[in-house]
Amino acid sequence: MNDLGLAGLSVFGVLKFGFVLVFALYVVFAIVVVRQVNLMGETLKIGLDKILRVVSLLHFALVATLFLLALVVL
Amino acid sequence: MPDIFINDPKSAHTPGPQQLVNQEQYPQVSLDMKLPNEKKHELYGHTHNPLAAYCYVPDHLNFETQDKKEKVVLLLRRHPITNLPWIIFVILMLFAPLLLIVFPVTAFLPARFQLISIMAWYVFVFTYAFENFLVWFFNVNIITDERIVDIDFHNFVYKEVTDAELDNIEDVTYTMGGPIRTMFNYGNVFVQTAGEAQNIEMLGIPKPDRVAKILQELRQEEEIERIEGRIR
Repeated sequence: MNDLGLAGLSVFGVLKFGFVLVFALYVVFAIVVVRQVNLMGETLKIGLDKILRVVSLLHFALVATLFLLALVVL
Repeated sequence: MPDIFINDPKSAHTPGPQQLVNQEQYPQVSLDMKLPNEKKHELYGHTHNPLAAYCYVPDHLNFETQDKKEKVVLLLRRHPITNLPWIIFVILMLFAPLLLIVFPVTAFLPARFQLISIMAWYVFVFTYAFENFLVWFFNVNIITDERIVDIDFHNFVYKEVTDAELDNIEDVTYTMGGPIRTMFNYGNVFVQTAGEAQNIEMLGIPKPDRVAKILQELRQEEEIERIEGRIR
């Protein structure tokens, strides 16, 4: 199964490239989420601002970890 | 010939505009806003819960376009029950990978790909839940002593803020229909404003009847301010 090839490329190599590309875009999205949560907190100061910022950073950390795992493990 | 330009001494004792309105005629909202902070905690609808969908005279709330002297009377969000559909969907998504035991559609992939796929699935579910929560939490209607502000975050990258002065309100209509809305006491309030100003819609908010009442009282307060010459 690992020897499957397509014009000299491993199928799973192409699949890995696809995964890594998607997760790279996901990382960019997670950065946008962090930025937007900060902006939302500036627009409306209502309590929970700090907690939501921490959660958005946690979300970014999860996505970044996923991206790194895809690079290393796959 | 009498001098018609001599000022009548009695006019000096005419009551000024500040005394035209009796204190008893002030609407309840106006009286509540003047209470000391300790007394405000006892008011009906006042809460310290940051997740509350209805908060009368909230303690710590500031928004972007707020004036220094502007006081927030009411903070409104959609009733929490309106979040039930996406919460149920998230719960189903959490259990979805178990279906792979029955329908092993990813069995042809190596174990490492399956592991990363499942991890990605759960991160995606977290993202979906977080976005829905943020949209609910930050989409608020704020009623102050001067205007109504509608803050809408349609998604992470699009924000819309609308405000309407209380003086420009022409009509306030509220609706509450259906068994679920009646049971949980939430509905819609539609505020029609004069001229080209945008109408404001408050959808799925708790206690729409009280919101309409508070808006009516605030408009009365504006009228009293106009009579007393206290227009800001």
